[in-house]
Amino acid sequence: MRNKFFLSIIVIVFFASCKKSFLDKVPPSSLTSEIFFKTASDFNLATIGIYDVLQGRSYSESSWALMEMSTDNTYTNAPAGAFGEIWYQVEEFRVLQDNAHLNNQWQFSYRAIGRANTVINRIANVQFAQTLKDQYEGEALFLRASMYFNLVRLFGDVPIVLEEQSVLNSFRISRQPVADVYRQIISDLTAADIKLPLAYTGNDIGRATRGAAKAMLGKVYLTQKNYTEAAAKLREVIALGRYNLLPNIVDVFRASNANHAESIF
Amino acid sequence: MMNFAFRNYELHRQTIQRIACIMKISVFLLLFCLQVAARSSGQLVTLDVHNEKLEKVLKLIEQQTTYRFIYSTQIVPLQNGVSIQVKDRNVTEVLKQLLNGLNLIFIEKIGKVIVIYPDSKDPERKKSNESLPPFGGKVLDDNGKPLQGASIQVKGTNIGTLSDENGLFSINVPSSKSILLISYSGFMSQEVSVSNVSNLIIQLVRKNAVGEEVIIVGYGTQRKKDITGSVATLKGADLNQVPLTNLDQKLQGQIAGVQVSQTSGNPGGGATIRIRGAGTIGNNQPLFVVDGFPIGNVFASEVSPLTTISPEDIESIEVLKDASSTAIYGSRGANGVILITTKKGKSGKANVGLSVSTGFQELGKKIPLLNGREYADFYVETRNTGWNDRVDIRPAAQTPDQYLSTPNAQRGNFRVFDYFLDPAAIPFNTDWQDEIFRKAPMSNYQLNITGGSDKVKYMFSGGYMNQQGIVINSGLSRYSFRLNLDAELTSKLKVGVNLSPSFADVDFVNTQGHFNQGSPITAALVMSPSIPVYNPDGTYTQQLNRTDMNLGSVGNPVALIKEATRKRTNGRLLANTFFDYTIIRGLRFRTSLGISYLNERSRDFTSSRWARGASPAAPAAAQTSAQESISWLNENTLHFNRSFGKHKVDALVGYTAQNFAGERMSNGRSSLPNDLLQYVVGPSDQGATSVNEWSLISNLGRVNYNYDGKYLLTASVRRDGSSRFGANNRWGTFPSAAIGWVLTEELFMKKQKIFSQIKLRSSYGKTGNFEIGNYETYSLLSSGQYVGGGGLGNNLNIFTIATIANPDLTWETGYKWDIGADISFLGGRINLTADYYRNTTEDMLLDVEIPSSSSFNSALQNIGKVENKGWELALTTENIKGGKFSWNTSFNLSYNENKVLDLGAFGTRIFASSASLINQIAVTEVGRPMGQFFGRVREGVFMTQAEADAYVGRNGSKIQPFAKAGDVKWTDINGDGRIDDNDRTFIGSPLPDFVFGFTNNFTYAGFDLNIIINGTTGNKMANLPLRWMTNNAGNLNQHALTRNGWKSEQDPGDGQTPRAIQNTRNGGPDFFSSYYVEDASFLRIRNVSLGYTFPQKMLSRFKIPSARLFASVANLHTFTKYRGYDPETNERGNEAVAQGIDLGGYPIARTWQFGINVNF
Repeated sequence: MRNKFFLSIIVIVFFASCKKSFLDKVPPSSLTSEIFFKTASDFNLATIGIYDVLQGRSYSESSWALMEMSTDNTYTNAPAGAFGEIWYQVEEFRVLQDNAHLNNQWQFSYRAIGRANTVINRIANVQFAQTLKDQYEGEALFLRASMYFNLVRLFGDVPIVLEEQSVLNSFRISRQPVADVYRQIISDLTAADIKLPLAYTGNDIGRATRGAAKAMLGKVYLTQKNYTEAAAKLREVIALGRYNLLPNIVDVFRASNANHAESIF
Repeated sequence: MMNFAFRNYELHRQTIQRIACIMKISVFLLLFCLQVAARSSGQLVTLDVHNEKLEKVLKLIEQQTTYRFIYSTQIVPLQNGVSIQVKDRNVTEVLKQLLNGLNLIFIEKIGKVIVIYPDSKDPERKKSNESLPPFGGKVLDDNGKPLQGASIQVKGTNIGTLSDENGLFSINVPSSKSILLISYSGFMSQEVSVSNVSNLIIQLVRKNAVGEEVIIVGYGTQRKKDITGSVATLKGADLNQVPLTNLDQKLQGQIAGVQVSQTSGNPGGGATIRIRGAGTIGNNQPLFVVDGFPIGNVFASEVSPLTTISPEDIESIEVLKDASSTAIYGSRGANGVILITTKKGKSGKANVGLSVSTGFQELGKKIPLLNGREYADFYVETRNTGWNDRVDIRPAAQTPDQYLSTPNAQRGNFRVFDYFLDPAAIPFNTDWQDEIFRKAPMSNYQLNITGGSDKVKYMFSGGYMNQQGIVINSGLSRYSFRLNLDAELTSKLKVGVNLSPSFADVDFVNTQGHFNQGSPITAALVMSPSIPVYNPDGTYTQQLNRTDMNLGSVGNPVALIKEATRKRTNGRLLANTFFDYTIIRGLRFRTSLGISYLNERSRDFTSSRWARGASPAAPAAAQTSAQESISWLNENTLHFNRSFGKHKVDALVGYTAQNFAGERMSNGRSSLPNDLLQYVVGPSDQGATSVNEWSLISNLGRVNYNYDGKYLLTASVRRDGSSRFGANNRWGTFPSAAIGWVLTEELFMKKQKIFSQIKLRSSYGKTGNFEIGNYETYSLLSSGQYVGGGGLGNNLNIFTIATIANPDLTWETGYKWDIGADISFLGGRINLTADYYRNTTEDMLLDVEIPSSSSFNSALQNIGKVENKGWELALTTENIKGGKFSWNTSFNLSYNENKVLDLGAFGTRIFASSASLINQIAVTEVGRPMGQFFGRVREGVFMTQAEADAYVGRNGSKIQPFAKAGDVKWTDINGDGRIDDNDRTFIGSPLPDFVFGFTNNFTYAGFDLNIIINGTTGNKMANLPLRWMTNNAGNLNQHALTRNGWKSEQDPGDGQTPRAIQNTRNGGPDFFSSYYVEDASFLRIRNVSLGYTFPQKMLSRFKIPSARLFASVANLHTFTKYRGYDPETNERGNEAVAQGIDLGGYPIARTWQFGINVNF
């Protein structure tokens, strides 16, 4: 009888101690970042994902509002009231801190930065064709730099986030001086300049090129009033021999004329 | 020798002899009924006979008393002459004297029956009977009704039998010293010595009278008097006499601390259940466990998972409320646990129970609205007032008389349809409520067969229920079957199986939402009554969005229902098997394997005639989805139960594993070529597959220690490992401890007679809530499309990280503290249970905002804290007992206070999501109860222009600059001199202060009457349809309240209802405000059922053991100030932060039912 007692204890203990993997359930019908980011194709899809932010309405609308509405290039005829208010605030230089455009610009810039960081952080750990690795990393660096370039001009001191964030770390992020932000932008664009290809074909047309990196870097130097470096960098753009002014300015804005010779990025 | 067979003790005198002849009973009685101590009976006899036949003398005694005699004519020498002379003597004395010389003795039975048989001391007879004849008797319950299937066992042997449908039994006993053990589940066992039998009728005493009642608890059972936790039970009459078709409805108003709200009346829809308040902003539904299998804690407003369980199959429902009882369910116990136990087989001849009922349901209350002409009048009036008011747009330099005489066509946006200009001529008065509601029939058929031998017992049931809904086109049909089989293979090994396939088919009508989003109820409330349902050509009428004519866009309510199909079908198979092996005395091992298979399908179709109003009719569309899931559960437990002197130990250890896997496929097409087929025809444009899995491994243990019935101690622990949580926090431990002290067992209490039991108990422990998605700890990717490439571009696939990984994610943890007392007075006729509790939930699973510089906006985190504290009281009394009339009452009352203590680092207010209702009407904030209503404070209307002009702020300017007499006045909460969104404040709580229930059971002769009343106090409801029905703008039909609106300073109406005006510049009256937050306290006559059980005499002619006729009405009347259909409705169902929101919820029906229960 005693044996039976111990036997049943053993049975229970046996059951209890086996099957550790029983509790590991990976989602079968959705991807996780643990299994993705392994191949060139994965990184290609993730890199296009960064551009996706630029195409999104929240980012593009807030960029238009914050960067154009206060100029004479554009004005709003939105109806008065809650819907139009956020546009008029920018137009009339009375932007309040709860203006949705500010939130959208901030939030989606950092969303693009986060996606770029993912590509930059993870690409070093996988093996595939170096030219593609260079291209994807170069694009991510370029896009990250362009986000910071807008952010630093709109907000001044901003957090410099270069790594993928955990929940806990996200609460430790703090703003950094403008000079540090520019230092990062220049470093990213300089690296992108080396890594990016000169041109694309097919569905890749429109992605960031070496010319885009050089031109952006030139603009950054210009903004910093570093005219020597700016001139040097922008001369490199001309030297590439790929870009020309269109004879008819109206052609610049024709939808049918996308990716023309005057379009750098 | 014939079998012993007392068919009926209440024999007529005339039949006695005949029966006596065939019985031939006495041979075996002689040996076993030797020492009969005939007791005095109190009835007196006077006899003076000389050498009269014995038969004649016995008849004389029968004439003088109510006694009747039974004897065998073969044995009793009836023709013998006897002489006796007595005056006013006791029957027993007379009989002793009379029978002494004849070697006869007698025995007196219940029912004034006296059996006479030869005295076995007679040496001659003793010799001739070496083997013992069978011993017979009858088993009755405490009401004197026969008990079928009672076990009769000769103590210390394997000899046993069962009583038949009349409670009769016969058993072979090995010796005259044998002791019979008579037992029946739910009753106290009784031992009868066959040698000392004074009464062949054995009346068993029901256990609950003294706390012997056995209660189902998690992973076992316990005697009620030994329980240290807070556990409430619902069984017997309380369950069965209430002919409600859904299980959760049966709980309503029955148990202290449990609030059941039927948030939607659609057939098959679920109820929200809150045990001791809402402990989390997440899922608050308790865990349901059916015969040991946890079927989850999901709330579904369309088809409740409980719909597939037939309430007729249920033996008892136990509600586990405190930590001591719920911690054994670990990470799933935080919201409380509801254990559902189905009926088991009973030994004995097959008992076939058939229950048939039929009835109808109707709308309990209609909302009073303007009729066709009143509405047309009102519509024109709003135009006139608006036109008159808008000096800013109306042509200047006209006199007021001229304003009103401006032709309709020249009034710009203040025109009306010519049709309405002469209200008296309008031929239509459509009552849209009558068009969409109906009297709906329902019927219910349930068959139940129980029976078995003493080793194998079975219960089989099959049921069909058909319930049409009170909203046209809605309904439910349910087929349910169950087989519960228990077998004792050896004295040590028991096996059992429960199988219950069921199928529910629901025609769902989504009544809730905005009237221009397809909700038929809100559409019926605001649709113009001045137009008919159909145009002359048979097409549906529609109210299009004509702002130039001041008409809102409202879909035709009838079309919204009839032109949409929403089928929901649920097929479920719950199968559970167990082996129970007794290893040594007091130690058993039990292993069970169960499977729950669920197939949920839905099919939606909207025809091209389904028009929501504004938009031109869209093409027909169809969606289908199917989800199949299998959950299996294996439980292995070792039970130890031994007494050592005064120490009693009941211990349990176990290991369980559960796995769930489900796959859902959906498919749809948003533009079907025509209305002919209701399925996805042609290419699908919405297809997806999702797969979900989770698993749970648990170790559990519990010890109950009992010292001499006085001191009770319970400790339990469960350790859960769940696939849902992060690798760093996958395992959680949930311990609890409880103590109890039974005062009445103490020596110093033994002498008192008032209390039959006083038990004090207290418990503390930790429970969890694991209700989050299955893969929340992972960093998940989402797919999308990006337009890239040259030219106009192509769609390119993208993958981006959608959620941040959180390997630290873990359970919500509930800390529960409870102190309570169970007190019984007067031998259990009055029972009182009182509890005080304080529960806090920590680490709530909350989607918390995080700095967006992380690239994400929010992440699911363990943050936040909520407290619930309160008390509850349950009182059951047997007011009148015994005799023909009895009356039992049970009353429960509970009070709960809910408070949010913490909402994370930023402590940001949480607003309930808006969807089809206006934004931000319910807010959850630290320091207040969850889901407080948030809006403006409406003070009434300005009765005069002077009053409106005098409403100025500190700087002297008008707070409502455009207000005129008859317009709405709002409070300037922040005192900034104007009214805007910053003047919103807390305007009421949807949570009740008190929840109560009051049940009365009466029986008189064959009649039984059950009345259940339940209600709440202190809770508020947001009456959102009333916003439209009192917008006073003319574009929508109005509530009858509008009749009392402000007309002029001389006729200012009720002071709350503003004037009729379209395009008012004061702001419409319909801003969410205190006016729409109504007192939703209610008292509902939940159920009244009257039954009549036919007397046995009448039924025995048809060989029917029992039959009962009943009639019942559910939701007879609701006393409430709430102006909507029902004070229990909630658009958001189970959403903790959005309770008490009425947006055209499906009203709960008043249900009339008539039926019969028959046993064969």
